[in-house]
Amino acid sequence: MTQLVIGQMLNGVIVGSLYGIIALGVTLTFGLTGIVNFALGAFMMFGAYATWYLYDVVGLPYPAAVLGAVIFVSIVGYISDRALFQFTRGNLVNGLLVSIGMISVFEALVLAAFTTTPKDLTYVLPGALHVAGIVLPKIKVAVCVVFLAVIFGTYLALTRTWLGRAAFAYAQNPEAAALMGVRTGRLQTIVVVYSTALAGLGGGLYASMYSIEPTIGSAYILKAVEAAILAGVGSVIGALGGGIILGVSENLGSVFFPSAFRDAYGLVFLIAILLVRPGGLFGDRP
Amino acid sequence: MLDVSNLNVSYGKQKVLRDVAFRLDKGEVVTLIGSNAAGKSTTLRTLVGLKKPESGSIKFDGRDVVASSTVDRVKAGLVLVPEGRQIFPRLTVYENLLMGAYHRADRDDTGDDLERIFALFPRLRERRDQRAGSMSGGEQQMLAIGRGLMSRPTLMLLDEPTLGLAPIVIEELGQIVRNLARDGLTILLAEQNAVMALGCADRAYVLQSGKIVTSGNAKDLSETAEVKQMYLGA
Repeated sequence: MTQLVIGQMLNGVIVGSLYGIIALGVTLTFGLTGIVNFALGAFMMFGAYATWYLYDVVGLPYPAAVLGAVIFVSIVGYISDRALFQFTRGNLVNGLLVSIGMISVFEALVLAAFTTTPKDLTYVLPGALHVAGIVLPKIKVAVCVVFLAVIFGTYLALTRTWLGRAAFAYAQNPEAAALMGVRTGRLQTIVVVYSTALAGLGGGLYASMYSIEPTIGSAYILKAVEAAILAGVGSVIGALGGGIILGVSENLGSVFFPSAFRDAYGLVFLIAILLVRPGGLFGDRP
Repeated sequence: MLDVSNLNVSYGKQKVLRDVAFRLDKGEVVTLIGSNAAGKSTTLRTLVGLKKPESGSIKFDGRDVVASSTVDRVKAGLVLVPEGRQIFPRLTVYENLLMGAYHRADRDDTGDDLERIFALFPRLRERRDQRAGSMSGGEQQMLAIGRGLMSRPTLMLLDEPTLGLAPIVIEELGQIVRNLARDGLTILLAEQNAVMALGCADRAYVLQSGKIVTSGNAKDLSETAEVKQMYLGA
């Protein structure tokens, strides 16, 4: 039982950090452009497929494949921003419509290219660590460490670098940021592209743990939005925290209750939190 | 230093500024007084490029800046301290001040500027690591001015700095503006509080429904019957 609970908690932390890294993109994009980019799930799926393609078909080593996938997704992100998202700045409804439309297009493209047959590269890093009688698959530990490092790095970049401070300042007061000489259009593009890159990285690492299909993104983007709301939109550390809380409550919930309703356990938690703290758990923090 | 002529600005069909013209010389403190909705903020916002004029020219240091971006105008030294402070509430006082230096090439070397600002506003030093949003209105206004100074302005535009402040703080603010002017900063002050504004300024323009109706030496203007009646409550 201990093994089961701890194993599920670890799974929850890993899945949760994946929610978190996409939630981070959701939060950043929303803070700077005023839209919720639901296509981030599709970008994650792109990242997963690109990683699989570079690893399995091209034959690159796995880390290089992930890096290549992140670059590829960023380029797609940049093109989407220039071609579409830059026209939806500050317009929640248009942004929503564009991003939902993009999901269909991206999924259809992948479907046409690679069919619905699930792809698998789950043999990237075999083996497990045994810590105090608990079995931890190495790949899951590695993935979790990378996610935490990236989210922590993003936090440092936002609080310690000029660009990060400008982004944070812009989210609080766009006009005042412009008065400080911030090139606001460029800043928004950087953040939109960075968010897609995070989703791409999420997808690349996802591919090492689970099999991939064209539709994997949709569940994750919903969870990521949930995590962002749970945390309080606008908080970086909150996005991670929200993701992990969600992941753990789903996985622990399914140990004690029917696992068919796992998605509901996180939602129950979300509602409970919002009843107590309507601004989210970390609503007033960077 | 600043030469504005025939400035026309509209919001939709509503004409907000009509043929506004004024000028400012280096080292001067000039005030733009007028009641609510006279067009003071619009004038300043147009000067820094947050609002595009329909027609007219804005010559800053001899160059027409109407077509340049806000970023370029800030880099040239045209800095607005906006109405309602507009500080970044979730950044600390120190981070707010740093944001003022954002556009500067030497932004990583602002120690001297910070010292100068802390000397001007000792309370900002005390609250250096406090969230800006948790400070009082007066302190926030001082932060907004400090942040503006971090941008190294050659001309500072102050938009209604006294808005919502207690009389004693307004007095303090007037002293600060006079000190800045004494140190050689050129200032354009938009104010509803004519007593404070005329007390700081060398010259004044009176803005009414988007038009400049009177102008002159601040001291003389404060003695004219019209200004006394409309703006000084006498």
